[in-house]
Amino acid sequence: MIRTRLLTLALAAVLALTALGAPSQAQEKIEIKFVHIFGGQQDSRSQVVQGIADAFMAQNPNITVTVTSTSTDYIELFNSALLAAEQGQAPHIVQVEDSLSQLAADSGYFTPISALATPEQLATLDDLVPTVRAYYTIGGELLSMPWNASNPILYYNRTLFAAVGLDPDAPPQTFEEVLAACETIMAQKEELKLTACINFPMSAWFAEQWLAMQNALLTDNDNGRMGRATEVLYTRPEMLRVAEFYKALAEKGYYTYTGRANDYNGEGITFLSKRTAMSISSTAGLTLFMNFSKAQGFELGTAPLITPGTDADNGGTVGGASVWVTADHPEAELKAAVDFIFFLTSTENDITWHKGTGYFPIRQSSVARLTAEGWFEQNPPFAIAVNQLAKSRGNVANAGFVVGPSTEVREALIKAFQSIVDSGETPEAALAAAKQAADKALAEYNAVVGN
Amino acid sequence: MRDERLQTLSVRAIAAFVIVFSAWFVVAERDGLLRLLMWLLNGIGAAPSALETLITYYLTLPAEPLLLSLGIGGLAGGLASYLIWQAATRAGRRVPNRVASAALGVGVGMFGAQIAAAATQHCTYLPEAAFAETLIGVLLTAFMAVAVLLPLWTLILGRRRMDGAESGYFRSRWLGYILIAPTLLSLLIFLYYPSVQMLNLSLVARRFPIRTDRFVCLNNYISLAGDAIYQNSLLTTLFITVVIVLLSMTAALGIAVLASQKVRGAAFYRTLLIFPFALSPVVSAAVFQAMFREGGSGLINFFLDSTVGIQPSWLRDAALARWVVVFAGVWNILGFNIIFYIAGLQNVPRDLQEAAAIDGANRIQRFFRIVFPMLAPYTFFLLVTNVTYSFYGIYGAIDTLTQGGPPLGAAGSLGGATNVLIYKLYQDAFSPGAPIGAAAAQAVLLFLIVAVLTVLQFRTLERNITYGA
Repeated sequence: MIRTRLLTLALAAVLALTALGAPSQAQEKIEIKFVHIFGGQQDSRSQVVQGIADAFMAQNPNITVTVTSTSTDYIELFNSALLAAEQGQAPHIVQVEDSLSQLAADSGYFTPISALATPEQLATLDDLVPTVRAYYTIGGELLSMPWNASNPILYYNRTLFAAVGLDPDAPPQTFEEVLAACETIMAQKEELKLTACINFPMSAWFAEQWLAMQNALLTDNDNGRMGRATEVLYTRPEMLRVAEFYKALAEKGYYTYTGRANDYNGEGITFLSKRTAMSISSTAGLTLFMNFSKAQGFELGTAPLITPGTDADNGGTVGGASVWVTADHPEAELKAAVDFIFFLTSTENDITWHKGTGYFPIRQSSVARLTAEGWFEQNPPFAIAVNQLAKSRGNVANAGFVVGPSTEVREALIKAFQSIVDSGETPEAALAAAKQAADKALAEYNAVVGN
Repeated sequence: MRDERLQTLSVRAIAAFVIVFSAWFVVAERDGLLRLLMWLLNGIGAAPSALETLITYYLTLPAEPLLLSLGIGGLAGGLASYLIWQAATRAGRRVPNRVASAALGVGVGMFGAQIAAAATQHCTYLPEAAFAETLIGVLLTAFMAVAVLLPLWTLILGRRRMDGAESGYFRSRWLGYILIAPTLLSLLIFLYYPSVQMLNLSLVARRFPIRTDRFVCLNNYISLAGDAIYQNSLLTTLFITVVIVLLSMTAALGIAVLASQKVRGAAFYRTLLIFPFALSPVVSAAVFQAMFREGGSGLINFFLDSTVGIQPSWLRDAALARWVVVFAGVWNILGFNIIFYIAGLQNVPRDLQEAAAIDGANRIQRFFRIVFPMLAPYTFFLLVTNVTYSFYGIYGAIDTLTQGGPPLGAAGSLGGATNVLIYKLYQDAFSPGAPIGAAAAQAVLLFLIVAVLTVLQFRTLERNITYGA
């Protein structure tokens, strides 16, 4: 008897609690979720984002923007967002890295921003820096809103340059000049306790830049923008020139890396602990490099990314990420999401974002206002990326490549460079093998997706 | 009397706690639970239409593949059934007559065959199937036919009667079922259902997160068999497993023997020795990364460079990278092994050792003739868990240290030096645009490999072990 009574009591308690806790649906509150990658510990960039979101919510009291960072890794963030989408739980706005654009488009989980924006909002797109806009335009349609755009630049140790008798105001600009500077620097390797002359992440990103600078394509079908890419052009002379550079650096012991691919943090540590004289990294790390070099007691130099040669004057591509709106939400929520995106990338917030992070401004009006303020004169390192980009001739080569299996395509190239640097493979053999692996991935992907 | 009251009281207290906890859980997780319930109801609701699909499938199926699969299943089932019948008759068990047994075997075999055949959509019987596919298909069909038949024969022959005194039982038949229901339900939802989904997934070509897929029969398995990268990955896994298991278990036994000596502060040492096990593999791998990182900022190379003047390529040299991974793996599981060996050593009866000592056995003889054999159950348990760890748990160390590298062959055309099966599987399954169909096939194969290894260990080693002193 007692048992039955107890059970009834417990059931009643559960029911009452459920009723109490149930969400009331009377209010007209709109809630949107935004996921990005800047959630690392002590990553000040997440505060900049939160500040912009707070300002948006102050202007639109009925909208709540929940900004979260489920991962500090682009790929993990993308996976978790799309796995959530598979379950019908997609966040409204997802930050997607540049190379994942084609996959995002093919996934069918997103709606192109140009289909959602109002005519007034669309009109402001003409203000976007043309190369930035071109990167995220596939098949003539702007699929997502560019947000955090960055370029690689050359970082060098001015103190060390002066010590070996190199002019700190004339950093190397080409592959050849790097090799020449390294000869001078490495002559004093022992005294300076250097591991190597230059280090940079074992990545495909720089090769993509160096190809764009030579006005060369990475894949067929105009970098995959006029139709699905079916083969990579890794065995062309332009890529061979890049691979030869790796080989030359490695053979003379001028180059080092941490042993992990894409280890931007680790490479930063190597350079900042004065184990190399030069490094290549994203402008996104500019603020960090400036702060840490001061703490380490050396003068930091920044310069445009080195080029394959003086003939390679086509300019680089835009790295970084854009923000995408997921489909399958009520119209009011989609509208709120689009409004927030345009707020996030408005001239004012674009400037806040640039100053707070080092990502470069994506609107021409922001560049103009920053120039008028004298910001670039006071902060020369920040001007490098912007000037570098201004020199880019807007064409297919520096619009960057778009392919579905970009991870595999890039990985093949990384492994080619690794086998050149670490196991003495010839550039020709390594690139041919990389092409084979990448082409296989493209063929398999295209067979599944169709056209 | 008082004991009994205390017992009732504590039972009530536990019951109250369970009820309050359940209530809190239900309230806090109501959204998720509701979604789960809806999902289950949807699943049940979809059953009729699934049945309809199945019927339509069989109605439209060409005769040839159907007859072939029925024939092979019937043959395998009939044969197996006859063999069992023969063995049972010889053993003097009560059995149905010969014809009935054979007929039963054929019938059940035909049915069992359809489980495998329908799951693969009879694709292995189509004329365009590759020879290897047909062969695997036949084996799979025969296997399923027998797999369904065996439990049936167990039922027919009747279970051997259990000794009533030793097996516990519930007074109410239902209580037992209710108590295992939550476990069973979660196993069903989180283990069995995904496993079936994975088998399905291994038969298609799909690229995550694209929703479309293409049925490719057993092609994912066939192409794995001919893939040099997969073969190297298998060899690497076996190498790393053997080395980790040998090193971690010998080292653990040695340390455990030392730590069991009666010295001042033994408990303190033991805590320190067990501590590595408390770290998650990723945390310990991060420590290893800081130690082995190259480019001059790694601790070990910094030390070696400033003393001996060398900087080995720990992570960029294929041979060295393997040993770094092995070292990280051994260090990680060492604490776990030490715990068990220390516990085992405490259970070795002292009188046996004393008797041996009186008979003139020295320390080494006593260890190998008495202590080590007495530890056999622990060694066996650790062997199984260490093999499993080396196959599955090594993932964290590899992801943080080498990411499967350094590449073997030009641009990694032969795979990576530390690209073990579980890591390759992870990369193939979870990078954007990755071929998850092929990854699912790898998962199935990996499961089979570990299952076979475990069964082998039980079959060959466990027989020679006596439990208890």
